Amino acid sequence: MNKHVILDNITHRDLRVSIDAAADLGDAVMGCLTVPSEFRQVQAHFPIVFRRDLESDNFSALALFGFENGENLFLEDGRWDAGYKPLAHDIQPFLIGRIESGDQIPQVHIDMDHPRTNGTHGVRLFDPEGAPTPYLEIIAEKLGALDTAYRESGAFFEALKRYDLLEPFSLEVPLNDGS
Amino acid sequence: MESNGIKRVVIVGGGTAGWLSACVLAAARRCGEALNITLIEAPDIPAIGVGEGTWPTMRGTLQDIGIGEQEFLRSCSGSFKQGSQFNNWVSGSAGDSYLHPFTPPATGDMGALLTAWDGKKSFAEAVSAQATLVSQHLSPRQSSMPDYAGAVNYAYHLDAGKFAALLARHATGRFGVRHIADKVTDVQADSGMIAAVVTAANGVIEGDFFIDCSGHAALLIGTHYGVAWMDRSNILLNDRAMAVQVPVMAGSEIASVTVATAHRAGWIWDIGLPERRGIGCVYSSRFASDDEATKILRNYITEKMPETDVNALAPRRLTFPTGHREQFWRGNCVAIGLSAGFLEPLEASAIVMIELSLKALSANFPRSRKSMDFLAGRFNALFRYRWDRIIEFLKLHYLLSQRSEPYWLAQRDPASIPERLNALLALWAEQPPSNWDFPQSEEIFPAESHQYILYGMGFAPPPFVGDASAASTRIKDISHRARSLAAALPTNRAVLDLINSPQPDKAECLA
Repeated sequence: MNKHVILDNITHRDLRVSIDAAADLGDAVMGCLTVPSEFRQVQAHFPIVFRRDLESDNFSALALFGFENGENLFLEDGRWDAGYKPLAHDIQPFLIGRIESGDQIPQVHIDMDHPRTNGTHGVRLFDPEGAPTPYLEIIAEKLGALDTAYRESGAFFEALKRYDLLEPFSLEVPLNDGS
Repeated sequence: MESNGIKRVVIVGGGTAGWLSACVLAAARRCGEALNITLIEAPDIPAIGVGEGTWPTMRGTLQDIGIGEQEFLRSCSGSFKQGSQFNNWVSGSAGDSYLHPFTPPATGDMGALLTAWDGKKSFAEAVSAQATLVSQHLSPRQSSMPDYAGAVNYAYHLDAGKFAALLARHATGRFGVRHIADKVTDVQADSGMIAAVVTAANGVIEGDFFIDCSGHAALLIGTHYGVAWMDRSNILLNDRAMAVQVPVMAGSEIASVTVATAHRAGWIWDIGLPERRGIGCVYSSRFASDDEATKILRNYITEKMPETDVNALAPRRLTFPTGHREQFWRGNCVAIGLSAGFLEPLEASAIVMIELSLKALSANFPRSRKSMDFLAGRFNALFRYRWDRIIEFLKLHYLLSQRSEPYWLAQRDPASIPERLNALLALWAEQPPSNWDFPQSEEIFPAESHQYILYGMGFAPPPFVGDASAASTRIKDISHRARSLAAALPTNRAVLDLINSPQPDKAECLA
């Protein structure tokens, strides 16, 4: 069970979040969700595939980092080897939270079980006085952009369906070893 | 090879000066013609152990001689030094503190910058991102950065005894320097040149070139050559120190700066290493007795480190001369280290003077005796210039004080102020310190250092006519950079604990 909590500048005053690229920091994944607003940047580095949910018949888009579970070909020697990192991966270990009954102002949540949250080497979220650091400000902007884009993406996928622009395919990748 | 070719170098004395000389000369000659280097070290002389702060030049020096940064920090119980902080120097009242960081102020016109500085933040904080890092005990570098690279400029604090031992291992192991543990008892000379030194147990050691690193004893430059000592204690009054080492609690913060706290008859140094703090009370024996100095030292430790049992500490008394030789290179002998001169350790000038001497020597090492006189003359002029500049820079720290105890009044006595410094102070009322005032390519204390002292101590900025709006933007940029860096850099403690963690754990972390 993930431990998602609302970020605040008292509990998390001295928290540091690791921003290195590493398999044991959660980067060993074969892909992540992507949103239409970032397709232009994403397609320059990664294949984008659309997945249809068989129950709801809804589409979602994924940026592919590898060809099997846990494979990330863009992770090299502790470095993210691409000029862009899709928002949904970039914002980890943060999430968007909403109070269910309250107003619609989204809040920054953090996954305290995420491996990025338990080191002494990382970026602070708040300065010693409790003001957000430039890093947290950027994260909040990205969370907002992702949230907006995700909610707007429904119309895009509707249009894809309406004009029947997608066709199913199966991906075959010949590997160097001939398999 | 001509008979007067310079092939055999004999270094008299070990310590930081001797072993650094051996390493630098050996490394510089690695690719060219190899020098045959012998170092003679008296086995029973304890290290002075005061020079425990370096200048940022040390990073380049260590890199040049081929010692890795992690190995250096681990072997010498080292920590990062980002500058010096001066407490109680202006008025002695609460909150009296200013910083001299190693990273220079924002570039561009200093007059405009001073006008744009609104005075709400300290000068150092307004013009350099480093001040924010220092106030939070942050490391100047990320652990993942390559050796000797930093987000801001930095030097080191170190254990001088361990440093000399590391350099000795490196010199003998890597460079094949011959080490003779023996006492030099006599010198054999021939027409103004040293031909050999005589040792107690190892007989006559011949050489073509000699380096005097024998410390205050100055066996070659002083005893043999009789080069006069120039006393400068009429300018800088301190002549003693009470020094002690205090263990720290595990996990405690490690300061990013040498903290120099003024007291009624001198000042106290405080240098943080991972396992201990080196603390020393510098004073003038004309204005405080040894007992009074010890009391000042104990009070400081009680205030700063209340967990310490101060009565269990046994401070060591050091007496020191203030001054330097009239010449540093005579005949075929160069004095490096304490044999060349000594000044109070207020701005950590001792080790950097060793490095600069070696840089000048190795870049212009005489191939034969023909070039020697010219090189000696040039070396002497350059280093006389450098000693004079350091003395003036140290004096500046006292001149701008407003403290009124007799010691502080004596430090500001007009008769004790060098003429050139007086003239510069008059100039700086009209224009900020600039490279015109410090024109050498490798000034130890360039114009920027003087700016930090002047405006840190409240010296009035000169009137400025012009547009300072671009400078306001630069100050805003600094503030933003400070916030970003402070968020991203780990603490000194986190970085140094990782470096000093036992090797097996480390392998596990990396796996």
